[in-house]
Amino acid sequence: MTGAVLSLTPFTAFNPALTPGALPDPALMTSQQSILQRIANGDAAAVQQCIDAYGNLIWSLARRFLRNSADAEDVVQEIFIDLWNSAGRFDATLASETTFVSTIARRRLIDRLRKNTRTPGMDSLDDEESGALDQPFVDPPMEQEADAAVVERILTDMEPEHRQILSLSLYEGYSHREIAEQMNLPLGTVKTRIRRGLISIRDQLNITVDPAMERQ
Amino acid sequence: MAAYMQITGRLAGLMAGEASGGNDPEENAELHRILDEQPVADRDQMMRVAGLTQMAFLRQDPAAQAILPAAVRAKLVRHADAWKLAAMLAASGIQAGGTRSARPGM
Repeated sequence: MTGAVLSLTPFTAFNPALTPGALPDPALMTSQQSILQRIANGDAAAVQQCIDAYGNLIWSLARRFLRNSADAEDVVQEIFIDLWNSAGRFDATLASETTFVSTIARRRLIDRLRKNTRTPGMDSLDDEESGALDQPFVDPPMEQEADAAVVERILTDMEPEHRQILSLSLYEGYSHREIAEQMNLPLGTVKTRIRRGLISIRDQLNITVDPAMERQ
Repeated sequence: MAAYMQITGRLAGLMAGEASGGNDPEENAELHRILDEQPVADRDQMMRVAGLTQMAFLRQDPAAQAILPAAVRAKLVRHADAWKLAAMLAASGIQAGGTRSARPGM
């Protein structure tokens, strides 16, 4: 466990109005604002609320993707610091807050995997240490994420082999080469299926958003 | 739900490759060159789709859904406290070492 590096600059996302002893502008602190918007507007309480809201989701994604508690612990810290620093970039017209969080997490997970030399599946997680539960656990932000529910349906309708390739790559953190070896497929085929799969999911999300696009 | 800008062709493939962590260095260089020449409004769309897909797989896998361990949470809270302090110092133009920043608010 090396610990995450705490970035002290530039905090461009944090509202300069938040000076020591000064409270954030109450006009900005509406209940309509998301946690990230509140962080961007200088609401100090929202920083910890971000951990409460997304800690379980990010932890679950990280430990599944990296299969290593120490790596997951490190990367979760990096993800949260990145989230706080990036809060000002959250655009609710492009995506939900949960989707934004998962996007930031994904970039960090890929970076972490690239730095690692571990083989997925080689390290087993101690359930007690890792927080795994005997009973199914429903994470509210993930459960309420409409786009993820749509993608879940798209995956269910997908050919099993294509779905498995996407799972190994996007969810379980296997490299394209490892997937090719595991599934006895040419590397180029794996690459193509993953790329086409992602593009197809994007296109189907658009159809869900706007039925008129289906006719274009 | 938000709509996704229709990026197509080679650029879409390279962005999808990036989002799956599958681009080799040459492909990443090509991606950055194309984006430098033709910036797109929705640069993160494939990463967003990949993040959603990752979340969708987690929804289907209850055994993988876990609660953040208390020890990790405690570390995050310490990071949060340090981050808030640094942000306040930065906002008031004071650097962590106690000197005043030449760029207030940064």
